[in-house]
Amino acid sequence: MAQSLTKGQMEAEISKLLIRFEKEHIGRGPEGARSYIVADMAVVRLRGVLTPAERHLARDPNGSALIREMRLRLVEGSKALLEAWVQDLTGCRVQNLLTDVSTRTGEHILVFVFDQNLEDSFKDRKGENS
Amino acid sequence: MLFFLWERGSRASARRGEGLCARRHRFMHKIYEKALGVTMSEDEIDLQTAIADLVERFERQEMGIQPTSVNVMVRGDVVIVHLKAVLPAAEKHLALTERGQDLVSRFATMLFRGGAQPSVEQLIARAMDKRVLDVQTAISPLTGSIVAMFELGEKTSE
Repeated sequence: MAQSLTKGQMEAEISKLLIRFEKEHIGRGPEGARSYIVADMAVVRLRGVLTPAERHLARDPNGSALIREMRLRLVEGSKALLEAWVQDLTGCRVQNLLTDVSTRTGEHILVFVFDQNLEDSFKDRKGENS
Repeated sequence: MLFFLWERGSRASARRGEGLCARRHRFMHKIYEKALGVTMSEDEIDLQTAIADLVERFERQEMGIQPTSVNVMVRGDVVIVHLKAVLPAAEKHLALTERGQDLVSRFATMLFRGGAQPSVEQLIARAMDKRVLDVQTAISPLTGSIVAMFELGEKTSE
């Protein structure tokens, strides 16, 4: 699949995949997602990941810390599955997955670090086509 | 026979704008009454159904969870709300360890206490015309089931 997509299409597919993951595994889908492929990384920004009840709880410092811990532990538990999905889509092995959640903005950032330069593979293909 | 009762009750509930859990709650009361010979007044059933409906709506809209059932029981000065929901895959996985279970319990308790509890407390106080003295909640991290017990005090109108 990775071979037939442009960089923009791949970014859109990664966004869709992350939305599916959040809905099916975390149980709550985000309001939107945007992905960027930069060198050997894919950076995914998920917007509006907190439910209204979580936003309410996030006003309290203890509640905010608990939401963050819960979200990170949920992703950590499903890390192997998520990495496998991204690997299937991009054709690159995921070496590392870094993640954080902002309870202030309701944004969830995920950074996938690959074993090769994914961005360059699109440039090479463009060169071949022209 | 059961299907006939469900259909008839369901249509009446839908006219009142009640959710699926509330309809199921009203239906189950009819079954209990028939099976156990216990009769409840329409007011009691209406109150319990209204509370079930509110909790269901809250869970769906605020928590993003669709509960599978909400049962409400009023016994004297105590109101018990039992909510069942299906845990998402990631939470099920997290609940496999003791530390994970503790986190799921704390998270669900804080969400319920911070969000659902004030609205449900208000509704119960208004409907029962009594102050809510205390609320105790128990959460099962393995099933996602929540039981909340509201203890009622003196009448608010006095």
